[in-house]
Amino acid sequence: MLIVSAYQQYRSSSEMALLSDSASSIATHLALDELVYIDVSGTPHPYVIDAAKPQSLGNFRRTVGGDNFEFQVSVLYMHENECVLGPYGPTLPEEEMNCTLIFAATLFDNNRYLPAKIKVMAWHA
Amino acid sequence: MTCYIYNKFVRERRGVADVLAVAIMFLLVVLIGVLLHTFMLTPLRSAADRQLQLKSEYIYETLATAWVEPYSKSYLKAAADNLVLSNPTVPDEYLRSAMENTLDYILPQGYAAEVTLRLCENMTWELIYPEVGQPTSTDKQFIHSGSISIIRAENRQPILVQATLTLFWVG
Repeated sequence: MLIVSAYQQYRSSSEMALLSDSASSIATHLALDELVYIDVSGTPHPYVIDAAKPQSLGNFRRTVGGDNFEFQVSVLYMHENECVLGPYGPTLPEEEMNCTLIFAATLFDNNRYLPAKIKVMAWHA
Repeated sequence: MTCYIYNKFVRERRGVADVLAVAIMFLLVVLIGVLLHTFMLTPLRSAADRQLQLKSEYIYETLATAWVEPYSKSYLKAAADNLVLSNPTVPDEYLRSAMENTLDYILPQGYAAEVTLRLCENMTWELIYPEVGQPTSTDKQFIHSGSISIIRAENRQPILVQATLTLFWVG
């Protein structure tokens, strides 16, 4: 009983670690590629999020390490009070194990570079 | 009679050996269970550390790209200006206050950040938020560093300033 319970807990903590790494991978891909602000000369600005892009993101399913994941993304930023863009993406299925990752980024909005936070919630599809 | 005594002796010895074997097996099972329970959180802790390392990189890049409003200059560039130039665009006091506000917003809960810009041994610009003092060597630290290029108006020569962001746990 003791060993079986310990093994089950070990498996579940390994799955959580995998989910955490997958959420980090999805977040990195968003911040460095899919949501990146591209200026008029066509130069991409990594770590700078274009405020218009999260809502036009069409696909919220990614394959990481052979596993399929779905995610939801929101952008939070301060403009007098905290403003939120989103959440965009499917809703989290009930009782599904998920990983929520909040990381800093810069939001390009109306020719301003604002400090912001990207919130990515990922789960197994 | 001799045969009876011998059989009894063997039976008793076997009984002690059986009890010992069962006890050792029980101890082994308990030991394995304890070891599994002790090390089962290791992958999760490692994943959390990887996530914090990523967060330190993103905080650094945010300070390198987001502007200190109303000035059109990034936080790290403005700090490098303050370190190198005699007349920087963003006043030091205003920059520190703005950077503290931004760090307050973007830092993960329970963590502090140390921002250090260094031109040479004696020329450094430093900010720690919240003001908890410098991280000790025993604190787990997540460090990301890079360089900021500044051009002096007098000779138009680029100067590279080393910038480092250290994220550490304060509780």
